Amino acid sequence: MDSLSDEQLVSLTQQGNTQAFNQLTARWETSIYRFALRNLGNSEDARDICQEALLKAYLQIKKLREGGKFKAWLHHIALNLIRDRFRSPRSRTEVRSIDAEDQQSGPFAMQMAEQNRTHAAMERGVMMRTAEAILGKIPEEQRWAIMLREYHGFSSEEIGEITGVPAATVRTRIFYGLRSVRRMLGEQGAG
Amino acid sequence: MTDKRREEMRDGRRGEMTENPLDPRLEKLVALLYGELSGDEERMLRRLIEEDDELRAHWEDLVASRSFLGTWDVTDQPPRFVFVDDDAGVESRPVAVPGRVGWAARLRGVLTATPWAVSVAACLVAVLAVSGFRVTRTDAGFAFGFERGQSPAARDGDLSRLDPASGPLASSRMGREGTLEPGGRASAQQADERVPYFTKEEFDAYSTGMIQAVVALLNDYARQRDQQVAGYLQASLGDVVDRQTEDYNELRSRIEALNVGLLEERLRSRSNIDRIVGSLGGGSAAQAVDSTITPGEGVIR
Repeated sequence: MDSLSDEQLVSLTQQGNTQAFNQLTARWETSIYRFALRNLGNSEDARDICQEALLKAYLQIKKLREGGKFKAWLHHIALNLIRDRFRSPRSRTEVRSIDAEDQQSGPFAMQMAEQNRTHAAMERGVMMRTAEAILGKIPEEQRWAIMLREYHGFSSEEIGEITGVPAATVRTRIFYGLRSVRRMLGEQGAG
Repeated sequence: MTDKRREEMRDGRRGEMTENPLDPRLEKLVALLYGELSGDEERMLRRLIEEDDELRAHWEDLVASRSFLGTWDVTDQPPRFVFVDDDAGVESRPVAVPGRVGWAARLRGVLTATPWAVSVAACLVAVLAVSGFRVTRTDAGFAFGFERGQSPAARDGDLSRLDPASGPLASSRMGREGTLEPGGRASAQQADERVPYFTKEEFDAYSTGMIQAVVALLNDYARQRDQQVAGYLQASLGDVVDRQTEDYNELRSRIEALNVGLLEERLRSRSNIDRIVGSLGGGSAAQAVDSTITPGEGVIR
């Protein structure tokens, strides 16, 4: 089944072939999981979102008319679940703020703890945490557009389908989001 | 760049948290950033970027931001989710599994989980293979039987313990040459040709009989093995008892020899004491010795 397209696999799944859906799952679960992980910040919540999204997709797959858009549809489901998670009291518990990080828990402390590692690896770790923190501070609609474009390879049109807005709006969000990132980088002295 | 354009761009800059429509050229910058422009559009926009300082500044900001975001590399792998069909009617649910399981691991799991079943199945397959058993697809389904030309003796060779007359196949009608005929469903022509096949029910009964035979063989083997072990243990026990008896007798003779020597020594001592007492005029010391040590004392019985 590896060679079948998403559209073919969706068609088979709609006819009751569970193995076809397992193939779709194997194909896209990593993308869903990482999208959730980047948004929620912890693997446990990301795993929950991933599982819920896959289950919802499985139960509602007969409603999907264009099988070729399965990936976008699945991410749309995951995004809605993430939205719900943000709105619930048990929302993202830790959007790391680089402003709030002190010497003990911040990147400088991490540098101290990782003295045995190479300087390049430490710098990379700091950069990753900084990127996560900065993206956590921009409006979520902009963040989602940037993440879907930057890390998951969706086109503006596909992101528009996932988020329910025109492609032009997606590009607008990306533009503002990236400018915010640049501004915050400048404020941190990292840019 | 016209003043109007500059004003639109300034509006865009102020509206960081809004979704105000962008200057189309800024929107195209994003499209260029992610390779969404056609060749002509890209060339045109790049020329504009070179000519317009403000547009170039936006472009450089976007490129720098994107370059920075590229450092956030998430490599975590999710647990595998597998949907399992449930014949009982329960909804399929994704089940997280720890990882991909190779065929070798699956086979190892089966072998270790059901060693007896695997042994019996292996014996059954071996018996079937040796006896020339074949499964043939027919219009009515599958037919089970043996290759033509194979003698009944060959078929029964590995199943000598099975008595077709009294075994599970006793109800099957046997052909003149011992070939099994279909239970009343074969045509006359088939009967004349003595086509060697039998029905699913007969095959089930036959396979059950073979399994029982294999189990009986295994039980016989276990019994023989138990008898051998018991015989070995009994022989070992006899050896141990004999050795213990020899040791006992040797020890006993040594002690008796020691006892004799001791008695002789005491007798000499008593005579010496008697002689000393006699010389001193007393006479009861020998009786005192006899009351404490008597002949035969210390002998193990």
